[in-house]
Amino acid sequence: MRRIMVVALLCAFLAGCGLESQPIPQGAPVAKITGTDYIALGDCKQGRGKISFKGSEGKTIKWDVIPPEEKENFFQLAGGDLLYMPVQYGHTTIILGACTSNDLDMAYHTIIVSAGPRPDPDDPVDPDPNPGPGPQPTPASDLAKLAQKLAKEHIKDGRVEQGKALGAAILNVCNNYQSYDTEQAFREQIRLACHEALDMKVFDWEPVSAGVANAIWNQVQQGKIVGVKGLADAYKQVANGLQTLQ
Amino acid sequence: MSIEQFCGWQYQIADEEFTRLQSLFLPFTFQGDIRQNPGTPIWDIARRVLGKLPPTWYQKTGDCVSMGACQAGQYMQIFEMSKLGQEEMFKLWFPPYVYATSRVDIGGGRLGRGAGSTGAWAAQALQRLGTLFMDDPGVPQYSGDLADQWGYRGAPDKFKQIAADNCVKGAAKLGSVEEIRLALNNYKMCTYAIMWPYDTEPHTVRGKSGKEYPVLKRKRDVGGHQVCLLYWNDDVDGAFCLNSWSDRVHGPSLNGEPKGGGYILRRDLERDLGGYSEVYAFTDFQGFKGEADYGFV
Repeated sequence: MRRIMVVALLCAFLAGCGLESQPIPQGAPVAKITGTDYIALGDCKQGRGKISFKGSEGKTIKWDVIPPEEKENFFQLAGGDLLYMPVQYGHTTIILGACTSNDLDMAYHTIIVSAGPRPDPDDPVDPDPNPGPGPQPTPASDLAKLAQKLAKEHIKDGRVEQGKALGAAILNVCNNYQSYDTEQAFREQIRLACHEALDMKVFDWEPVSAGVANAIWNQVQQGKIVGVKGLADAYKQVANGLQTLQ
Repeated sequence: MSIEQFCGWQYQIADEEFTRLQSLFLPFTFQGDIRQNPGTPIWDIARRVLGKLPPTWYQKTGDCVSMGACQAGQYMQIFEMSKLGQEEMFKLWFPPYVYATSRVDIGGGRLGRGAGSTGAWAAQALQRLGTLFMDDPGVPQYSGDLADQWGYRGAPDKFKQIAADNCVKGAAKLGSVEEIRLALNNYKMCTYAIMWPYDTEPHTVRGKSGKEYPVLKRKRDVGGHQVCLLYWNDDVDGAFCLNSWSDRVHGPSLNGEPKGGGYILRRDLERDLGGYSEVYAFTDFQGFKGEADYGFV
């Protein structure tokens, strides 16, 4: 309800900001946002992206962000561009409104803020420079590979032991996926199980979690993961990757 | 203002009003596993989740009941977002809304223009009329005058519509220190209303481990006052109490605790509960819905 109200308020603001003293441009305004849709946010919190508001020249524009974020993370550049320097992982949606005295147009743009470079599903896991004796486990899937790659990058201490615990916790939830009526309930149970498995240490896995979340989110958007069972299958791959960490 | 004017818990009618509303409260029981020992302090969790702690309130009138309820609720929300994995966004609660709905909608305007509220009224207001967030559209700046006005006239209807979908689902009355300990060990934050005897000076106490902690010391009763309890600590055998008299009283913060509070030791809790008192544990807040989160942290 509140999200609708944010948009409604923005509409109200824009609807009331007519520029009677300026000539009304031909045609309705066309608001468009171009620019980065992925910002890599590393351990040192670097990461930035430029966003341009296109097609709204000559109009009054206003932008807002969901979820609400410190305006200090945005820097307005000359020519209607924004420089965005996020400080936390997640999805940021920018809402742009462009209006004349008669017309209002809105555009939306979502930026993923994640750990490290954008995951490439085809990117192989870096070879272990010191392979141990015996056969190395073979990652079962792209998500398993991704989880392993991110864990190797970000978890220096206790990676194998904690990975096993996390993997077991996730797998346990996946094996009981029929208990969950909604995807949200299933996702929440995954997090609850991981917190119970590692307590405060689970927060060290935030960069891994964020990368995995983006990959799953992308597959959900593409329709490759559907329903609770689809999610359970995806998280099983993640669990497999975590349980076979070296 | 003197601190006596901040003490707005109406202890004279608290029992009577609880009895009237008793059927709306849950019994104090747990389902599933019960954590017997303290877990990670909620403020450490809050720092990992939010990057900082919610600000400690500085009340400007006799609205302590709403301050204690909101501070308990906010920390409960942080627990549910992090440890329970709920897909919600953290938002600061707006105490005057709870002050207004507790007094006018639940209390029926019984106190008129007089200050204060009761713990039962506030708990029921959160359950039945929800929570207004500080960044909801049109929410005014907090002031003592505003709290007094809303506390007399009631909260504007437009805010009731906005707040209605963010309710606390349950509250249970607690009657003993053991119940408080169990509630806090299981991250059920408590409102704590007593005849307030503690001074505002900084004091410390050494735990069994030799570690030092901020502690509240008794001085003299100043009036009925509601605060919140956030964490049980076995090392000092006491509960951490967060007050709403700014972050410059009590303290100091020695182990990451929020500023503006201190531990109340078991013997003092027992003494408090032996007099006028009203303690509730909250559970299950329906927060502001966040985006779908496919992460596992």
